[in-house]
Amino acid sequence: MTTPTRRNLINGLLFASPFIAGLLVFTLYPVIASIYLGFCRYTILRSPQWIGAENYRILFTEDPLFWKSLCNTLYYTALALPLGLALALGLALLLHAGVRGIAAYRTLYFLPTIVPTVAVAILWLWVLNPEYGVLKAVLALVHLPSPGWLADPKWSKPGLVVMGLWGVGGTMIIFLAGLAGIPYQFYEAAAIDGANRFAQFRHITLPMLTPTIFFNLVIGLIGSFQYFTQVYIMTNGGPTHSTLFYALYLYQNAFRYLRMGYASAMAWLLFLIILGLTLLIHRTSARWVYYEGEAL
Amino acid sequence: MGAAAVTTRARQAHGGPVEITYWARHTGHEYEADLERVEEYNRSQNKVRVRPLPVGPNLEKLVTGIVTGTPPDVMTLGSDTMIELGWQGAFMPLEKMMAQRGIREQDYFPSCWRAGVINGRLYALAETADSYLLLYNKDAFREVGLDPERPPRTLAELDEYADRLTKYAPNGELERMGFVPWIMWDHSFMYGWLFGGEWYGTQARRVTPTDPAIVRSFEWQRTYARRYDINKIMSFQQGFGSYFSAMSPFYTGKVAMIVEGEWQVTFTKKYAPKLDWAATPMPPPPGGRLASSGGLVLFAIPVGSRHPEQAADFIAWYHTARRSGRTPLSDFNYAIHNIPTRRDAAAQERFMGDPRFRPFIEMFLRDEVHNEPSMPAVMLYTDEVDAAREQVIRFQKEPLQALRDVQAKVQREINRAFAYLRLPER
Repeated sequence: MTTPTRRNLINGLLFASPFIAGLLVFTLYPVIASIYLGFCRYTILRSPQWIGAENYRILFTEDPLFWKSLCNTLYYTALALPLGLALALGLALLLHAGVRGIAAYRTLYFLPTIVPTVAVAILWLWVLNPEYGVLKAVLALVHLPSPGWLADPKWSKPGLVVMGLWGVGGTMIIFLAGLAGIPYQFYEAAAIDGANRFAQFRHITLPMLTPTIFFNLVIGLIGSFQYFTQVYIMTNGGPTHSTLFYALYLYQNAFRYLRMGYASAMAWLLFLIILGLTLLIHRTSARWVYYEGEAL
Repeated sequence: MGAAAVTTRARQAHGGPVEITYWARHTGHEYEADLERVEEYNRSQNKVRVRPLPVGPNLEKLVTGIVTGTPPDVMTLGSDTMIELGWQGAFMPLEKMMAQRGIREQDYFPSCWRAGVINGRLYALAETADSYLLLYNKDAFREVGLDPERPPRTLAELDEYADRLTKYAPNGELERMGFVPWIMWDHSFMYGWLFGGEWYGTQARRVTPTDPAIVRSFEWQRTYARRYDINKIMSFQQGFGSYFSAMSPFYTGKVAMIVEGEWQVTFTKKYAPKLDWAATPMPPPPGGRLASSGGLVLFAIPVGSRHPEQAADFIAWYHTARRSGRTPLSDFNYAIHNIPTRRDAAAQERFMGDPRFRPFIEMFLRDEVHNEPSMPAVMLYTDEVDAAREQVIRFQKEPLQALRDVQAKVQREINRAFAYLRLPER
């Protein structure tokens, strides 16, 4: 290594050192420690005691709430993720069309995304209110009955999905960027060949957008498995555990019941589940994600 | 301890007071009242300076403070947190330090003193206490032809009154409810005691939620879900305004009878000055007994406190009469309208002379206020009982089955906790 290169390296590391130190102390160490703690009984206030795979045994064989919280999370993901992607894509397509005042529309649809989650949660407590809620009024306009939403175990998760859809602005913006990246010539060529709007969408827009869809899918998946703040504020897991999401139950174990070892085990299972699902999507991506430059 | 003593001496050598940190459980206007006492203490002497911080019911902060060796020197905390942390050895034993400072058990209501005892040792000293009674709206009584001076005396009467007080709107939705056992929140522990049941066997270290009396109390709660249709009740409940506002359902007349605590004496003055109400003990069923549950706020000195002696001085000052004959504790309780844990304070005219406040104190005089069971995993137990009650009133589980499930889960956790704690046998 030449002297200037070495000096650059040292300077670079020095400048990055606050981040590196932070990463090591506040992220990497706790992450590694949590592997060990997952095999301990640890109430935080007393030193951890090695109990082998006991936490995992309890999770799998003794704790119905573990399964309940996992099922709730899967249910929410299976409902919210496809709906969110479809709605975001639909909005992006509409906003991509050259309508007048498009900038204003884009801002409006993106706006909910910048509202802090806590504020959104408090706001939606009222939107979803079964007696005085806005949603009830809107449904009544089209003569639809409205359910009890967060008061009803059957409707609490769909209520949260509706609330989540309000915040698709972020995903929509990424789709818009993806749409902007599709060369106009493709559409021109297709139009000359006589392709209608739907055929253009089906054979140009959708394939060209697959990398964006793939990205949003993975990010959305991770996000919905970590769903926490909204239920922490709005329902605390109720009614009858119908909104007890995985991350909320993990948190309760760690900081309410002082079962930090148990919570660590849960965290690692969550990591493995997300990793597994992401790998699965990645595996299938070769079949449906097209990158420009690859032969179609 | 040695190092702490050295620091203390060093500071005293410099002539300055020893500064101790105090994390207060009370927040908002209650903290303001607490602050007044702290300032009074700081003015009253020049050896110790208390630096308060309104931390509130933040378990995470407490736990991390203790485990990283930076806990406050003294703190107040809620009884459930105190039990959960106390079993984990988070606090210093107080009996010796308090005895040296003239604090005696017989000056306190028995349940209040007991609340600070864990596994036979005193770890905390209660400053404020609550009890729960049945509050009823006298105007609603008059409206349906009930005598407002004659509240229900048996549980059957309560049910009957509830029926008479419940009103429906023309569209069939609920307009007013006479009584619902779980509004504004779960009171299952209290109803268990009311029916004559016990939740925990201290000696055997066993949770006993399947006590037949407790099962009956769950069955009774479920009769309300059946009679008024649980779905209707739930959406009715969703229409309630915030608890801390004039829109709270008891204030607006949406609920005519409700189980509530003594703080309502001041709350109703503030939020519902025109509301005509009275309080009466919750009437027990045949074979039951008068009972109330109660929460408390207690002083404790966490392990790792750098100035435990000064902390103990501050606690003792709070609990000892000044020249005026009144304890700071009684002034604080008066300011926030909670029940003083000391008999002499509660006996004062300003507490006992208030006809609305008096019945709440009487529950303590008769020793009918029950604390949460003192056991590890008390939070889990509370949450599980609450969840079981919800499953029962929604007809997802039979009362006995729901309570059996609670017992199995919580007992396993207790057994593990005791094995892990390796406590010395008493």
